[in-house]
Amino acid sequence: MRVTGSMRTYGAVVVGSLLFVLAVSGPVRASDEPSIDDPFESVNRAIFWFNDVSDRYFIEYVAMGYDFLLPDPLERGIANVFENGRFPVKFANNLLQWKVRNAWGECVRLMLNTTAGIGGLFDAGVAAGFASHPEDFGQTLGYWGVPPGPYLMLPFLGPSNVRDGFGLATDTATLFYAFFLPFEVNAGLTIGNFINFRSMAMEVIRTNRASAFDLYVFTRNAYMSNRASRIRDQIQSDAPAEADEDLYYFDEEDDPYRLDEEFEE
Amino acid sequence: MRLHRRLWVAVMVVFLLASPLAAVADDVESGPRAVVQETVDQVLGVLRQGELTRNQKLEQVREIVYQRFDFVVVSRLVLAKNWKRLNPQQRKEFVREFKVFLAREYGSRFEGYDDETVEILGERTEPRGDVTVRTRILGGDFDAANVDYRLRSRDGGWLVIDVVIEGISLVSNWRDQFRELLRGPKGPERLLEQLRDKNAAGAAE
Repeated sequence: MRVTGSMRTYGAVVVGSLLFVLAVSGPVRASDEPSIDDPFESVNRAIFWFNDVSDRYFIEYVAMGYDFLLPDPLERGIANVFENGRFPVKFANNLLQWKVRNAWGECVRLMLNTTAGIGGLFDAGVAAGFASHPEDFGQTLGYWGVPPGPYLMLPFLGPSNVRDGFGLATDTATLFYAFFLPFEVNAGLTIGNFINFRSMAMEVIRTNRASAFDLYVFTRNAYMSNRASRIRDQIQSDAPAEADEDLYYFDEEDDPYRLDEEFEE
Repeated sequence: MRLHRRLWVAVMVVFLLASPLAAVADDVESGPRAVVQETVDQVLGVLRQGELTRNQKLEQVREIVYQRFDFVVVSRLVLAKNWKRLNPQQRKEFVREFKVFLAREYGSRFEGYDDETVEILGERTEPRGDVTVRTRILGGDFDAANVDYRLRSRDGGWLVIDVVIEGISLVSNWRDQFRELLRGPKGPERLLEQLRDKNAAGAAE
């Protein structure tokens, strides 16, 4: 039973992570020192390679078949149903971050999406003015100051770190109903969620693969940046991004070359 | 003589009337928000032209991106301290190649969004004067994707220096990737070579 529960969340995460098969760190400093803590890089790279090859030679083809069979709006609807099912995680973690209004919003969303949204196929909540606030336990820990710890690449699940890996296990336990479902159902849901997500992410992943110079580094930066900005709620904020300020300036004194005319065309 | 004077008066009147208006219009139309709005409108306009091939679209998007981004600043930011390790020749080449690469990257990130709308959500002034304009793409596979544009004032206009997609800064991401490539004494050459390869592959698609 316990295994089935974790399989279930597996899906959600593989999904989240594959979105960026590709995937973050705190503030990036102008120095040459990588700001991302990745002491297990060689092991991580091996696992990344395994995930990437499994995807290129198998998973992607399955997802392409799925994408061919299902119209895009239905895929979005299915993704919404899975999102709706994550209510316990979103509700609990909004509360744990003292975001009472958002936690209440998640309750309204659950009710509207399950009824008017036909089991979550349609996002009736957002239409009624209740936007989703997808919090998870990794974000809650980060919110209260827990650092990400070393970066981890998990088999099948994709990019993570010590904090978020622990968060993931906790989120799995939070989806209590998975413990009451038979193994086959949990496995089916997990795989279904994963393939559905993978087929939606087809274009993004293709672009990532074509444009990345080093897909492993691309993924690591993307994952860590995305998580950090989610934790700071920076994505939807009009407050200045103090933490990122250093990224955008170079040391003029350190560098004799100015923005001279020779570069202008 | 009289005609001359009349003409002169007319010119003055027009000038007097026009200048305060022009000043106001300037503020509204060339602020960071307006720059982003115009850029996004132009890009979507190109992507929606069904009769164009993918490459034609990407070429037109490239022209728009060329006018809106500050490539020298972006190049220096992504290379960070490594900028110094490139000689003047290599820097020039880097800026030239990176421009092509960035424009194509931007275009291909957005080509899937031709049916969608982009909404400007707000803006914030960063601690040292840059402005970040927040946008959201509605519709598409990933509904409500957040895309932030960071702009810097230059010669009275605003130019884009970073695009942040769902919290993922392109500048930060490339900086991490380039840092890896630039390791060792052959670093700068290797970086330029890969950049040329990417651009060649892009052009051949």
